[in-house]
Amino acid sequence: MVDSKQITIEPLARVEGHGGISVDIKNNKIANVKVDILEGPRLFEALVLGKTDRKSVV
Amino acid sequence: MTPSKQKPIKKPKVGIYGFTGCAGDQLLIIHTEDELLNLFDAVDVRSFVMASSKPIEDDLDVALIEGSISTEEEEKHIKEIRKRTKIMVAIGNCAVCGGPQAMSTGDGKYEERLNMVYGPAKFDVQPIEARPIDAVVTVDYYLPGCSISQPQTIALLSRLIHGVAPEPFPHPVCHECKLNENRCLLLDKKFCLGPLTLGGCGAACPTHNLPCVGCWGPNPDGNFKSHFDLLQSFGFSKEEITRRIRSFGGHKILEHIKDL
Repeated sequence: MVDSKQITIEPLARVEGHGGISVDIKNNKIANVKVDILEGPRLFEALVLGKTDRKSVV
Repeated sequence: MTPSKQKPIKKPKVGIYGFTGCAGDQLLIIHTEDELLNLFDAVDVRSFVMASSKPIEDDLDVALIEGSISTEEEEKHIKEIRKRTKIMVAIGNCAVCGGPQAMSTGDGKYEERLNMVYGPAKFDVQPIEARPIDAVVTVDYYLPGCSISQPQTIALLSRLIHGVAPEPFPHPVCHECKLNENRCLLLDKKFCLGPLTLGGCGAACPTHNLPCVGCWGPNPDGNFKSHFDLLQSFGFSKEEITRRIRSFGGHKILEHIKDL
């Protein structure tokens, strides 16, 4: 029985990518769950503009 | 007779980290099934978030770094790792050359692209233009590739475990292509970047009749002017050659082609 607690799992391991989970518990109920997935920006959407499917990237 | 007290050989402390990239190089290390148990037995893996939930962040003998530096937080983090590791190895094209995300680095249009993709979004972590890790810290050894190759990786790690410098592999893709007795694709006027690309992949693509796209990054010994002239004689424009060689040449290729 937990009145108020915050559980944080950081980093989220054994998955591809970077992530963490944070769970807020208030009055023995889960008040909020936050999943943070942070991937550095690669901007492929902008890098492939103007290229055909044949002459896309390579 | 009293047995001699042997000092146990300390296993090297290894950390494996990923920055901005697809994490494929970290995954490849896990995919070395034949050698994986031997590898984890021969080293003391302190931090490898893809494989273990309990990373220990302290001093390291070897840090393997994948991914480009694409945020301010990553820039801080790589400097922090550099301070506490004896040896740093850049693994994979993103860490070595900047990766495909660096194909337009330096053209002055980064903010435009960022705005196009993310619009008015507020960033928790400030993005910066993608660069290879040696743009920020000193790198001791490189393991290029997209993704890195299993034999080349095991060879490098074996050397480091034994406290010896890894054997350099300064050969272009052509070297391995010739060992495979492939017919040269340039004879058919194909757009092959083999002569300008580092080997280590076993010339996998040309062996399957696919021209090399340069994913091991630039061969510093390559004759860039001569190969550009050759490709232009096939009918490819200089812009097209530059665009395509930057796909995996990323940021690092610029020093080789800037005077062409």
